[in-house]
Amino acid sequence: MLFNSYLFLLLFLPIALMGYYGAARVSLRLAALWLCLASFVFYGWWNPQFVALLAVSILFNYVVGLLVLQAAGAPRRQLLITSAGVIADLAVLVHYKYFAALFNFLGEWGLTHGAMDTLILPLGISFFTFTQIGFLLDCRSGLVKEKGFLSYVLFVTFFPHLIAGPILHHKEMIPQFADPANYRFKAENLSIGGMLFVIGLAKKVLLADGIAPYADAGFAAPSGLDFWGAWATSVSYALQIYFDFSGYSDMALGLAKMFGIRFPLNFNSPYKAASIVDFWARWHITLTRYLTSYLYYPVAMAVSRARERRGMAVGSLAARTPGGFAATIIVPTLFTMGLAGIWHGAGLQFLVFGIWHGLCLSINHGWRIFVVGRKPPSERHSGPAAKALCVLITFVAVLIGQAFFRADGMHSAWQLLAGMMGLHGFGGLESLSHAAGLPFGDAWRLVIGHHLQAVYIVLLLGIAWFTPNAHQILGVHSPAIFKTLPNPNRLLRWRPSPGWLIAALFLLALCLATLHKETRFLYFQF
Amino acid sequence: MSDPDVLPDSAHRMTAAVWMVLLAVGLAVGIGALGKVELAPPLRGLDAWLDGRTETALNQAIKLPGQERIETANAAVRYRMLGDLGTQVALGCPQWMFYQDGLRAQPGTQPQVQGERLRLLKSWSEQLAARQVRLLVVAVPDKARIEAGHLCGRAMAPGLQAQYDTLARALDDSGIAFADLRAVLGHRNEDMFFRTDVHMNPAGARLAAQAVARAALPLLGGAKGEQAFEVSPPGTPQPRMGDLLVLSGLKSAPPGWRPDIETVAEQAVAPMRGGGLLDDTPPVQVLLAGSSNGLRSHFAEWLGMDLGREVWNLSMDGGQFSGAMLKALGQSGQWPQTLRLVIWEFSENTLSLPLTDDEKKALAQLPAARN
Repeated sequence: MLFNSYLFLLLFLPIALMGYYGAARVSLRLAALWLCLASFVFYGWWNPQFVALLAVSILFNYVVGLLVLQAAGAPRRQLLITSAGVIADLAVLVHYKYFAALFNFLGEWGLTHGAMDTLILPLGISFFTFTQIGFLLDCRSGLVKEKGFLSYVLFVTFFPHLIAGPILHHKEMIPQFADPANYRFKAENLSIGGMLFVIGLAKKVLLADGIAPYADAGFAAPSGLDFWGAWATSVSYALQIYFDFSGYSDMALGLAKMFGIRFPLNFNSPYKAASIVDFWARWHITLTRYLTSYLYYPVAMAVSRARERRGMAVGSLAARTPGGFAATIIVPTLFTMGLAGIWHGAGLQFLVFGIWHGLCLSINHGWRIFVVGRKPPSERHSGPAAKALCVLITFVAVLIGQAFFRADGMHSAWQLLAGMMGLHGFGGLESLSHAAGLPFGDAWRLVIGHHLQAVYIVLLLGIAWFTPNAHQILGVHSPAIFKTLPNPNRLLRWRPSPGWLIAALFLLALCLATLHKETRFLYFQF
Repeated sequence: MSDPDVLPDSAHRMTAAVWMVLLAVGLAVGIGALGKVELAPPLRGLDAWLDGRTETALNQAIKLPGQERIETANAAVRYRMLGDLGTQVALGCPQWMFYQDGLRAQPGTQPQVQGERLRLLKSWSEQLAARQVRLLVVAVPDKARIEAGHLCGRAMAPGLQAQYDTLARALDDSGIAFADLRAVLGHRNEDMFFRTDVHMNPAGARLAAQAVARAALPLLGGAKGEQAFEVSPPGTPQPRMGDLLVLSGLKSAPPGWRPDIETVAEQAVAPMRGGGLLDDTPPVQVLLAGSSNGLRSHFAEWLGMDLGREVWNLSMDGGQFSGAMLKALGQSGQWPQTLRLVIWEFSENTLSLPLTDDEKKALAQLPAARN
C-alpha cells in the first residue's frame, strides 16, 4: 500500500489508528498485536504472497537471535550462529535481487547458457533484511535485552518504516514499544504527526512527482540531450529523488508519531552540504549510520589491528601519512561505499556510483587532513562565497554519482555526463522568439509551458537550498530522535496555531487534488 | 529544566481535533467509495486476491466525491496558468496539442524495440507470401513531423527523427512494399492533422489514402476495381472533441481554460449498392489492418474509392503497432480465398513504444535473431 493513495488515507490510516488506541484501552499487548496485523495488511496489499516471505524471515531471524543470545558465553559458537543467520539473510536477498543479473552477466562471458528474467523483487526486502541483520549483529554485541516475540515482530513490521526505512536499530525502538505511555492517545501525536505527514505528502505529490516526468524523459534518451538538457535532466533527477525519499521519510516519521513512536531523522537538507562527508551525514542518515556501524568500523578496526600487530601507527596518527591514510581511510571507505552501491541494485553502474562516492569521501578526508589540518586554526574559517562554492562542488559531485545511480547502464550514464560536458552541443531558447507578437496569455503559456522544467528546477532548488527543512520547521516539536539544525527563520517555525493549521489543510487539499496520479516511491525498488 | 518552546498537550488539542474530524470524514468517504466498487468477476476469486490484482483494482476504484470535477479543474488551471497539458500531451504553438510519444521515446523503452518490431514485420510478410497474399506497409508519419511548423520551438527527439528512415531502409532491403507518406503530407499549405487530436484530418486522410492506393494498385495487378463510391457534400461544421483534449483531462473544461475545440464538416463516403435483394458485394481482395487512423476521417473509405474496391477494415483503436495485424492474422483461417493484399497501417510513433505482451509472445515464437 502506498502512503500517497486514497485507500491508505481514507481507509487504512483511520482504521489502524482507531484500532490501535481502542485496543490500547483494553491491553497493550492487544494494541501491539493490532499494529502487527495492520502492518501485515499494509505490506500484503501489494502482493499477499510475499507476506509469507516476510513472516518466515521474521521467524527465522528471531530464532537465530535467541540462539545467538543463548550462546553469549561461547564466542566461537556465537560467531558461527550469527554468521549462518547473516549468510542466510543475504542469500535470500541475493536470490531476489542479484541472481538473475549475475546469471545473465555470466552468460555474456559464456559461463552460463540462456537468459533469465529478473524476479519480482519483494517490496522492502532490502530494508527488512538489513534491519534484521542489524538485530543479529546487535544480539552478538550484547546490545539486545528485550526478547519478546511480539515486540520483535512489531519492530520489524511497523508499517511506517517497513518498506523504505528509516533503517531502525532494535535498541531505539524496543524501549518505545515497551513504554505504556506511548500507547495512550495524546493530542500532540496527531497534531505534530499530521503536520509532518502533510509536509512529506506535499514533497512527494507536488514536488517529486511534478518534476519526475522530466527526469524520466531525459534519462530515457540521454544521447539526445544537449548541454542544457543534460544538466536539466541531472538536476531534475537529483530533486526528484530528494523530495521523493525525504518526503517518504517525513511521512514515515509523521505516521510513527501519530502512533506515539519516534523514528530517527533520515534527511537533514543534504543539498546544503558543503562537503561530501557532510552530504552523507545528511542523506539517508540511517543507512549511513548502518553502513558505518556494520561495515566501515569492522573493516577499519581490522585494518588497525593488523597495523598494530606489525607495530605500525594507528588512528589519527596513521592517517597523517600517505600509506596510513590509504590503509585506514581509503580502504574501508571504498569497501563500504562499494557495497552501499551494490546494495542499491544489480549492475555495474551501481558499483561505480558507490566507488565514486568512496573516492569523493577519500579526497574529502584527505583535504581535511592534509590541507585544512595543516593550516593554523585561525585560517580554517571560510567566507560565505567560499562556502557557497563548496556547496556547489559537493552538489556537482552528487550529480555525477546520481548519473550512474539512475541510468539504465554505464553507456547511458556516460552519455548524460558527455552531454553535461557540452559534447552533444548547446541548445538555444528558440521558443522565446515564437512568443513575440502573441497575445499575453498565449505568449505566457508558450514560454512557461515550454520551460516548465526550468521553472520546477528553480523552485525546487530554491526550496532545497534556501528554506528550512520539515524538522527545522517543527523545531522542538520534531519527533525525530536526532535533532536537526536550528531554524534560522522565525516565521517558518511551526506552532499548533490556526494559521499553521490552515496552511496544512491547504497543502493537504492540493495533495488530494493531485493524488489520482498515484505513483510509487523511488526507494521501493531497492 | 523544560524547554520554553515545548507546549503542553492541551495546546495541541484544536489541531488534533481537526485531524481527527478529517480522519473520521475520510473514513466515511472511504467506506462509501468502497461500497460502490463493483469488481469484475475475474477479480473476485482467491487467485486474484493472492496475486494482488484485486487489491490493485480496489486501489484504483476508490475516488473522492467529485473526483472528475477536481481533476478537470486541476488540468484547466495548469493549462491556463502554466501552459501545462500533463505528462502525455505537450503544447506547441498556441492552440496546438502534440502527443508526447511523438516527440520523444516513452521513458523506460528499451532501445532495441524497433529492431524487434522489424523482425515481426519480416516474419509476417513471409507468412503472407506463403499464402500468396501481398503486404503493403503504411507508416503514418507523426503529427510532430508533419506539423513541425506548429511546434514553436519543441522538436522531435533525434532518435525518433531517424526511425522513419530506418524503417524505410529495412523494408526496402527486405523487398517489402512500403508507402512513404512523408512527402505526401509534409510541406502543405493546409493542415494535415487535427489541431487537438493525434489523427489526420479529412484533408490529410484524403491525401494519404490516395498515396496508399497508388502504392497498392501495382500489388493488385495495376488496374483499379469497378466498385463505385458515393460521396456526399460536406455538411455543416460540427464541434469535434480532440483525443488530446481528452487525454490532457480538459474534455469538460470551460472555453478559455483549454485549447479551442475544432469544428469539422462531416462527409459520408460509402460504396454504391445496386439495392436489389440479391445484391452481391464484390469478393474481398484488400484487408486493412490499421490503427485508429484507419477508423478516422474516412481513411478506409477514401482508400477503397481510390482502389475501386471495398476494403475489409480490421483497424482498431489502441492497437498500437501490431494490434490490428495480430487480430487479422488470428482470423486468417477465415480469410476469403479472394484476398490478395493486406495493407498494414500503423502510426510512426508506435515503433518506439514498449513491446506489448502480444508482441512479446509473437517474438518468442520466432527463431532467434541471427547476428
